[in-house]
Amino acid sequence: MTRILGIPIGRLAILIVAVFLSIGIAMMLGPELLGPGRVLDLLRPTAGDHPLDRLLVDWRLPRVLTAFLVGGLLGAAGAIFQGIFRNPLADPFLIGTAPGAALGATLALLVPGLAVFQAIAPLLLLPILSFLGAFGATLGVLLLARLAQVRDTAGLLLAGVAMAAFLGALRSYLMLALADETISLQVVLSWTLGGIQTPVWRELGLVALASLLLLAFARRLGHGLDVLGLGDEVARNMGLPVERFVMIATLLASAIVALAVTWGGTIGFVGLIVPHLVRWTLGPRHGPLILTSALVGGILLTLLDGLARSLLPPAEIPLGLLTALIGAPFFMLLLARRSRR
Amino acid sequence: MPLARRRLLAAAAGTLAVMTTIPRAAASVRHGGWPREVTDALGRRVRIARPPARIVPVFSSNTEIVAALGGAERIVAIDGLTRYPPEILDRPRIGNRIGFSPDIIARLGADLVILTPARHAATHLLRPMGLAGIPLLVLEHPTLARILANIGLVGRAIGNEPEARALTRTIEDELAALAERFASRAPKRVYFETGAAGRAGFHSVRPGTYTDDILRYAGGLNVFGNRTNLSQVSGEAVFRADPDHILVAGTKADVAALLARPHWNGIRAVAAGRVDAIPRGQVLIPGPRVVEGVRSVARALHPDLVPASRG
Repeated sequence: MTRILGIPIGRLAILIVAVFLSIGIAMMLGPELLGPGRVLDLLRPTAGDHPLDRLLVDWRLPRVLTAFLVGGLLGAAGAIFQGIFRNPLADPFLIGTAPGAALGATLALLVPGLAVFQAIAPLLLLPILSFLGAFGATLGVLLLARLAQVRDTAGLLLAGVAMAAFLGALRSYLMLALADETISLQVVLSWTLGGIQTPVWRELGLVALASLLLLAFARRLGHGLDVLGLGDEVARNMGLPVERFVMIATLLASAIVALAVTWGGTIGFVGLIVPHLVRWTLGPRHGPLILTSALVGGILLTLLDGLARSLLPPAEIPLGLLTALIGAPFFMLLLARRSRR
Repeated sequence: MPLARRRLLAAAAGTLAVMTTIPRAAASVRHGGWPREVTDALGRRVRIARPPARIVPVFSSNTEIVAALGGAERIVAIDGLTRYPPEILDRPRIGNRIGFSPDIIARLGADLVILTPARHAATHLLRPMGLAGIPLLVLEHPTLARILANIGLVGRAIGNEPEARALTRTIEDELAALAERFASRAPKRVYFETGAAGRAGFHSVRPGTYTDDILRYAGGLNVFGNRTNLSQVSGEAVFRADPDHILVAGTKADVAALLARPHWNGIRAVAAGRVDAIPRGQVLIPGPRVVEGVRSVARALHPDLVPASRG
């Protein structure tokens, strides 16, 4: 069977059609539902004269595309982390990235002293601090593991869990200590529950470019992760520098997660279930698994973000709530069907 | 001397110093009708033996009410997050969101605690205060009318009824005067944002709250006022609501952040520059300053009817 990037061409074609379909459907979803004709109208060269066109093109479309990218990044990161730790429960936030990012976001949202920065670049403080928090947490875990001379992935995982607990507690403390009576902690909660931050077009271009680069690097981890799956000893005998590889893969996956949380907050569940869904249909080889997880993660999150915007208008449901509320039963259904087979 | 013991002694000395510097009773306390009973928000009948002279209000709103009734000098300790009025900021702190210390309250010789069950930590004070025999008054503030009622209740509890009546009347008169001014004018449709997580997680004032009341008294109408669901609204819903005016509870920096959101200049109110910051303390603390909130909002929405010089 012909394959492109390790993915059977038929499956790839279906996925690409699904990507466009999900983006099209998400463009129709919002506080008021639009027909497909209205969305297709936007492709006309004269589109943009009407205020609603501008809203759809400059607010909804960048958000839909960002949701796709964030979902893609989380799907890919989940596949990498499950490969590194050889653990089906591994998700992108396992080793401290989520509480790290949340700590950064809490600082950005609650520390009054940072308002000076806020005044200079009002919209950049939150993304910068959440990225630094997420990536910094992983650097901290790797450093801790190195200092403690932890050499196996299980040890790294435990160091990550400890770091997550530490950062989580620190964030909770700051939330309680920094918020005064007039500052609603709901805002911090909203961020932690996930929600797509809408970029301007230039930012979206940069995020897309960074995502593509990271995914291209991630694909190159595929072979190493396949070998690692045979166990540390076998992998070493097959010439894989296990410790170095694990460190590089962890750093890369964390950069992917950090980029995702910067634009989507801490959206759970997608990174956990998507690689499983893909593995069931495509097999365990990591090269195609990472790319396909990215596509499926993107499709899933694009649709769920559309629902978050349209289920209870004018309210918006935090995206992380929907991924778990809809994702968990859906995943259980698939799990049950698979077990019966 | 071990460090721990030295610290303990220093803390005890500090407490003593505080107890001696704060007057035990103020001249304004009237000695009629004691002991008295008041019924609080939980339906508890709270018995107060004599005019309280050592009051511990928990939460900014309760502190502001006591201070506005002329009881500032009888406040012996405050909540760690209270930042107003300036004259009570030197008082010892009994804790914050992380927890409140019944020990400090008891050590300070408090004879009345006023709290709001807004946070879990606060309700933890109920039982210890009961055991210590310190009267505890619970206030709730769902609406602006309840805030006015709270002022009356606190006035009765601390023996400052005339001040409470005067303050309530002043607030009511100002609200009535504003209502008269806006009577012939359609209310401005307003999106009132209380917070945002960057470019997502936009939180609007919820209908049925005292902040929603503030907006109404100021000649405004909450664009999400007839929708009682989550306070988090979608950006697109704000576009579609097409408000006449946007208010942000916060500072000019918060307004700048709103203006910088992608495409928000596509909202007519933003394009026309009708976006204003309202100080958080005036609209998100359910105390007497809500009337300043009404004034600030009214001034932002109807500058021709409520000129800036008024206040």
